[in-house]
Amino acid sequence: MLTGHLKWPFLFNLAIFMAGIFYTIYLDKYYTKDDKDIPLHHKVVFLIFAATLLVIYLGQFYYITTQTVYGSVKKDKFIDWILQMFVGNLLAFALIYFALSLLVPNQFYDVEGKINTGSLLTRYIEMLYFSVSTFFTIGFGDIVALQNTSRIINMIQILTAYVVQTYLYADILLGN
Amino acid sequence: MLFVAGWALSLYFHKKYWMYRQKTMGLGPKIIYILQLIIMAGLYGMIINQIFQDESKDKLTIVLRFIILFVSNILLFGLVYFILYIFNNQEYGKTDENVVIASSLNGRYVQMAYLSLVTFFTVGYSNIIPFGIASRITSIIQIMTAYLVSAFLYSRSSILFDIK
Repeated sequence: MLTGHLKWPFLFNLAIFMAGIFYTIYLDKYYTKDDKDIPLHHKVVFLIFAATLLVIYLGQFYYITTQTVYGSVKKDKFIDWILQMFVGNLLAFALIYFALSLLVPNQFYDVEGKINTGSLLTRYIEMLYFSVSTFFTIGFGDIVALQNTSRIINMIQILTAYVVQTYLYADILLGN
Repeated sequence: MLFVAGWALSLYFHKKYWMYRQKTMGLGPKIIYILQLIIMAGLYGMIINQIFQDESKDKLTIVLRFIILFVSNILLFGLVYFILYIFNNQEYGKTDENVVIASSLNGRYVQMAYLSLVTFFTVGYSNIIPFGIASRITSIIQIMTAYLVSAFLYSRSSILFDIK
């Protein structure tokens, strides 16, 4: 399924994201649900994960928008393209949201106030859910960004999502 | 046709079990719904497989096949949401106190299809929201499949609108 030479950055992204899941399970085991009990270096690790994913994603984005020609998204490369450009974005921003919500309190708001009391694994998946529902313009509104930092990052994700999706449509229409 | 048959089967089942107004159900109806889910998932896979291999240039065929694909996606994930609700009645929440959530199983079934539709077409009214982890993961999967399926329709739009 993965054919292009861009598959290694994507697989690396996925590996980091899965590592993040296991890391939250580990943290859940040894610390209480209160953010203040978790030492700072654990939070910084998540920030480094997020920064790595974002840098890799921006590199892929730059490569695809400048180094390839229109019409490169053919039938056999469609899933490939989606995985690289869409899933990379989703994972990177989910990790950024999660690291932010760990570092700075009250970054996000959940309608029923569950988000800051659940386990870290729950919050990790919630941030992935928020990222997906933002990227694909669903906007459920059950989790919303509440402070300046998270709102700015949210805006950046919406803009990149729009650009990537428009690029895909243009590619499909012009290429065929 | 098989898919419509499956859907009629579900109508029959939820009529048959609609008196189960308690928040819990016996194991029998759950197993029946899961069997129905397996059948519908298999049919959905067959439909997807057929459409991805299809090279038809006929406009009506393309439109009809994509309508079937969309509807089957919506109903399939509606059933998944409904099964999650059967197993855990704390699975869904609402954003507003004024929103009415159906108490009967009947109404729930329709509301889950509604949630599925609102998610599929990226409307996101959010008067019913997935709240538990399982339903959130399900909705992540649905959003992504919905996007893929829609993008596949757009890729055929050059045929539909005679773009050369």
